[in-house]
Amino acid sequence: MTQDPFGGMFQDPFQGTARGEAIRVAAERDRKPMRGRIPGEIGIWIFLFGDMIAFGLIFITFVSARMDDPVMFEQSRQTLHLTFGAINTLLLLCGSLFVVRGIRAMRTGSPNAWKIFALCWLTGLWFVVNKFIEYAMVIDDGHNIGTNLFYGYYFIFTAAHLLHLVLAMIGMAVVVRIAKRPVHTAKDLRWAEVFGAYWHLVDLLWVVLFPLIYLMRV
Amino acid sequence: MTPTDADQLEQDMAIVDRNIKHAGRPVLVVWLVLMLATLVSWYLGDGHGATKFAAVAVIVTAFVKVALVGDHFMELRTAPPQLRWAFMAWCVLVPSILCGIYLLRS
Repeated sequence: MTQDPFGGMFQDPFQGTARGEAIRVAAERDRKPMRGRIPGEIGIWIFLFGDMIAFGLIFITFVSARMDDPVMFEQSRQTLHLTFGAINTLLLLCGSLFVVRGIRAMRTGSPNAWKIFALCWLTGLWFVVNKFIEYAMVIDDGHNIGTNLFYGYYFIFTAAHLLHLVLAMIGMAVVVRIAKRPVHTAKDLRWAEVFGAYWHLVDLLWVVLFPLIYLMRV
Repeated sequence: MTPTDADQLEQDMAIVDRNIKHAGRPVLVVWLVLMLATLVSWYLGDGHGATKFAAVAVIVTAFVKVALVGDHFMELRTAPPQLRWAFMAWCVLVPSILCGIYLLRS
């Protein structure tokens, strides 16, 4: 807020508070009764469902390939570095919690929301660093994308997920910038929800990919 | 503003207020459950427990976690039911296919 010639007389007293947000959302919804509120907007959900279907096919491809040659898949699986996969799952879950808390902070008009989103971004960075160390170790062990079908799928599917994470981190960086603004409009909040939902998607895809690749035995 | 408009606005605001409060409360508990489930799957997958049971348990656990993320983190619990059910359909369909493939072919 810069110079206000009216000394705040015409300022919205609820601006930046939970109540202010409630008023904005209610006004935005044209005062129609709300049975449910779409988090973010419907466009992102169509996009998310597309991704979920694509990854659903990836999961099915992987499990049926595993049943074609269970011995080779199990031998290859045992050479993976389980700890990295597990810690990365925990990291993404922490990131997801930060997203939820960040959005909540934004709704209540807290000036600290951007710090929480920044923490989320850092968990993503940590994941990426872990992933590269893990790739280096697997390659160092003498395996690569062409070693066998297991490693082929391992590298392609985890890299596809990594690409999603990098996109989610770019989105989160945008959210940090938005959250740094002194006052958050309904539009600001919607952007945070859109990129937040995308972050959760990246999280939940890893929540499935990790056990399928690293944990499942035949 | 007519009285009905004011009533409607008050009602809407009450719903939004409730949604805001509601969305935050169990999130920490859900997060703890998710972290714990990850650790248990890690332990089970790391060579403990019966193989066949562990494989199915690992798949089911993963998709239960996904459903929790959807409901509590992505706020699908307070979203329009169609959206929520589309999401939950994925959470049931995909693991069913995966377990089906696993059990039929092992």
